[in-house]
Amino acid sequence: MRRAGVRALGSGALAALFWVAVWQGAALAVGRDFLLASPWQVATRLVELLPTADFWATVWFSLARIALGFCAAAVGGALLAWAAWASRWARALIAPAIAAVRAAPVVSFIILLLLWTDSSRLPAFTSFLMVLPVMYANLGQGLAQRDRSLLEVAWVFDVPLGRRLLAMDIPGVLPYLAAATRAGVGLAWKAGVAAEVIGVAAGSIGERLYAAKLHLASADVFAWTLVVVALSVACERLVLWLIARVPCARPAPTSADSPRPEVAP
Amino acid sequence: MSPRDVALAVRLEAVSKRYREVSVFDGLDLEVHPGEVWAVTGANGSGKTTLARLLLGLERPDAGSVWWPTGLTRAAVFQENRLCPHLSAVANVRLVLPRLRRPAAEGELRALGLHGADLTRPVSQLSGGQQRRVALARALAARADMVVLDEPLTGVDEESLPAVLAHLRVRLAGTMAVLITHSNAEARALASRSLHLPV
Repeated sequence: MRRAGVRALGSGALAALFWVAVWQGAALAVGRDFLLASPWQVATRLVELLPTADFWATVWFSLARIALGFCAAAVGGALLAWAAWASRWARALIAPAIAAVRAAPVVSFIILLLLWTDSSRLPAFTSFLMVLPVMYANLGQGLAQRDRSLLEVAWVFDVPLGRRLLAMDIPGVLPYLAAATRAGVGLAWKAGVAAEVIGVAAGSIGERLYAAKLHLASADVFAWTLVVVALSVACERLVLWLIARVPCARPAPTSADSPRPEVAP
Repeated sequence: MSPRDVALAVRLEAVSKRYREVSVFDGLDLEVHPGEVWAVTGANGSGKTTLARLLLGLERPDAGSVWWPTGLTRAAVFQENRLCPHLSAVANVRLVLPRLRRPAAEGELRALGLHGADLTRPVSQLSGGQQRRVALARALAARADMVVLDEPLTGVDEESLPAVLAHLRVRLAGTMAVLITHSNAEARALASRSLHLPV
């Protein structure tokens, strides 16, 4: 198992090295660093940025707003999915609205939001709108796919709602939340940063990218893009890690009144 | 039969049930009173499980009505075990009976012949007969007013059967129970009343 992991890591590192070499070759071929900075120039720029307070303030600005949009979409998507599952009238009302949000170009929302609100709120709203349909669809599927036979058991035995939620509903839906997270976090960052660029949200990563374009600083564009990719991956890992730690999501002791494990390792 | 007993009874009045073109019952009447154990027998397709689901409120009749006393508590052994495979026997019992203390859950399982590691390992690692006994323990530990048992002894080995039957007799005493079974021996051993459903 460990050997297979090391082999996978080694092949991944080799693939990454190959693409860095391709990038370096392309940068040498172009020969103009304002058009295509080399990996070394990008790494140097990142090292310059990392220790500055301004860098972390910028990261925090975007992270806070995009995370807020993602979390709001998760909660909103869950509530809408539940309403649609519980009532066909609610489903008939919600489905076309979600379909419209899913199909409409993100830039249309960004422009509308710029008309209605200031640019600092753009990333949160845009991330929310992009992630909401993903959450709605996945969590709706999760609700529909719950084990009906267990739900009947809960109904017959009159299991309290809280217990049923923790023991049957949430564990049934969590795999779908994990799938929505995998799709949604990347989407939230892409749409959120695009909104920041278009709205030139002061103090955001998008604003830094826009400034880099104005100054023809491709090293900055690549450096900030790498930061966004790293943040997106880190956020995805964090949310999946949290989901995996929900006590009811995996076999776990049901009470603390006995030191004996209830489930074999 | 006192008026109080009638008020506490579960009643099916002129119940009809169809699945598409197939009529399962037509005008079925049944009253289950406290202290009665009904054995419901019949060939496959005669509607035994449908009757169990009607009594539990999981199906609605197409015609007629089902009456339950106010505040009636129910428990059941379903045709399938309906256990959470990754949870232990004790955890499965306590999953639907959160107020049941762990020793009480263990006691119920021990009375049905489950001991030691069988109580604590995931039920997916137990045999079919052992899983059936977990489902049975869950229904009996509920101490419900009405218990519906759909083929409760399926898969229980011959060796354990006398002890399981003896425990069932003790637990069903005084409750309203409906036992769906193919076995006349089980019906004779446990039931005080019987209903045969024709195909």
